[in-house]
Amino acid sequence: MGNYMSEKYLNRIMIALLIVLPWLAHWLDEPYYVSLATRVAILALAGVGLNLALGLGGMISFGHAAFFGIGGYVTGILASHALNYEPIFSGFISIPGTTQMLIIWPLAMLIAAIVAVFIGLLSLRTSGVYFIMITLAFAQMIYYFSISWPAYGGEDGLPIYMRNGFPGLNTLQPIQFFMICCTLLLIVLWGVSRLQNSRFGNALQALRQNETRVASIGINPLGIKLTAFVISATITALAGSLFADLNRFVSPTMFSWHTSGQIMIFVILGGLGRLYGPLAGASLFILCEAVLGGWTEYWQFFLGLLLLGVVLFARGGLIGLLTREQKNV
Amino acid sequence: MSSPVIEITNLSKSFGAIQATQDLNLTLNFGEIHALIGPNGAGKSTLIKQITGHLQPDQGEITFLGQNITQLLPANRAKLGLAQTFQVSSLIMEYSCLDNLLLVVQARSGSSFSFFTAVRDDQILLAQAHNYLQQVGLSQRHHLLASALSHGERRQLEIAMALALEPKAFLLDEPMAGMDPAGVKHLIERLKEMRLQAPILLIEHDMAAVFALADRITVLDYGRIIATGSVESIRNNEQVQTAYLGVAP
Repeated sequence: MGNYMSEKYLNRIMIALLIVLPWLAHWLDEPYYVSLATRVAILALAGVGLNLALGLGGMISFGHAAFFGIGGYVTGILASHALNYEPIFSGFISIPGTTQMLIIWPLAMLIAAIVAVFIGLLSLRTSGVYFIMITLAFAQMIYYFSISWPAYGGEDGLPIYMRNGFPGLNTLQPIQFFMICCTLLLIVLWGVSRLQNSRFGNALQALRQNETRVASIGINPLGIKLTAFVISATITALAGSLFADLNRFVSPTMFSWHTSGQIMIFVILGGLGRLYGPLAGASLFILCEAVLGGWTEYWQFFLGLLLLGVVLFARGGLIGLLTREQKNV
Repeated sequence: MSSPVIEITNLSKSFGAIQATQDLNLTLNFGEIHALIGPNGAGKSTLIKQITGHLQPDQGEITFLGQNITQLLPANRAKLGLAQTFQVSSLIMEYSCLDNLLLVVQARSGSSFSFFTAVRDDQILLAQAHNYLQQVGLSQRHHLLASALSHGERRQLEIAMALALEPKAFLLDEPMAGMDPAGVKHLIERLKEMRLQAPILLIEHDMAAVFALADRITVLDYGRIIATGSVESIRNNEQVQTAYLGVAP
């Protein structure tokens, strides 16, 4: 129980830092650091999504870039239609674009969910290497599709000329956009923490350990895993939508397997299956990029070493490492 | 004469050239312990897996309480009331004893699609889980991870999980394997109690236990039934003696 308490303590420190540091930067008039913190929040959110499938459910999805990118493209496409007043679909009814985040988010999540049901139904019948490969293959298919589809920029990507809006806020102001991202991250973290301890989370975590046993007591593995996969995809899609708005640009890179790998790195660096792991992992990643990236363009070499160290010596990731030390004190 | 709980008709399963189950017919009746014996590789575990749904038969039919379950998923068969224990202990290793049972009680008592209410706050579920742990004498060990249990304790946890399903039939695959004589003796008494709750299809190598418990014995060899009948008739069957019991005729 001591371990659990200190992890809770560490989580609170991380949240406090995530909120305080950007405000500090804001007061010091350093918008660059505010946007850096915004990236941390968004990438952590993407990681929280993947962690649900990977950490809790043991589903090694190497295709979460698909959902991240869908979130981004839904945002970009809706915004571009809204800005040039062309309806997305015109027939007997005509569907216009929108620049309202409150409409964009649910739509992005819904479309990601539909795609996740499809990918999940085909891939969840397999496991291990085959599951990794099928999820990767789907993401790559979408990646190449986005490159070769000229309507929305193809290889060049799609700019979002104005950051989408949120009622009552000026999203163009970095600190306000940061607070939107940070609030969403906190809400999702709260939701996942509830889910973890629910009947559903109980079954999901048992499935990761022993699928045959779970089936033999009357819980159908496919239903639980598919649901977790879909929830996981929608969270990552929400992050993708925010990421598009942060950069005011979407490109096929969001769909590439590098992105899938990066999200996986956040999860593993922070600690597989730990609720706040992706936040720790994404923070460390961005920190490495900002600090080491300033010294050398080969900073990813050091990131590789770090990842190697975590995998070899700290299976609980950064959070496991820190909480264990606290326990020994 | 009431209809059997489990009825297997003309069941066949082969892996390549090996016939693991050959045109097999078997019943499990209310209130009985039906022991399934035979040498290693006789197809006992393959048969159990076909009953639980972890393997699909090539041919034949399995009915459970009058319902054809041949095409059902393992989870749906369990929901109908088929409980199994595994030859090699199959537990949720990173869960405590209590959490292992909580999962079973949760599965039996409703849907697992509840996302916001903490399952460990559900006092009714907790009480039930504790109750089954107590029945097998693991109350003191409830907080231990399944991976930290001794072999014998793991076997008992498996039994508790089967009990917690409140099943209509038990399928026990070598429950005594690797247990010390005291443990075996204890388990024999437990199985006598369990049969009052639901009939047991028992695979077991410990012949003393089988002779002490079984109402009927079926002997399998190369996927076929070579004999079936009362304990006495099996004990005196020459074919069985040469094939399995190792007694010179």
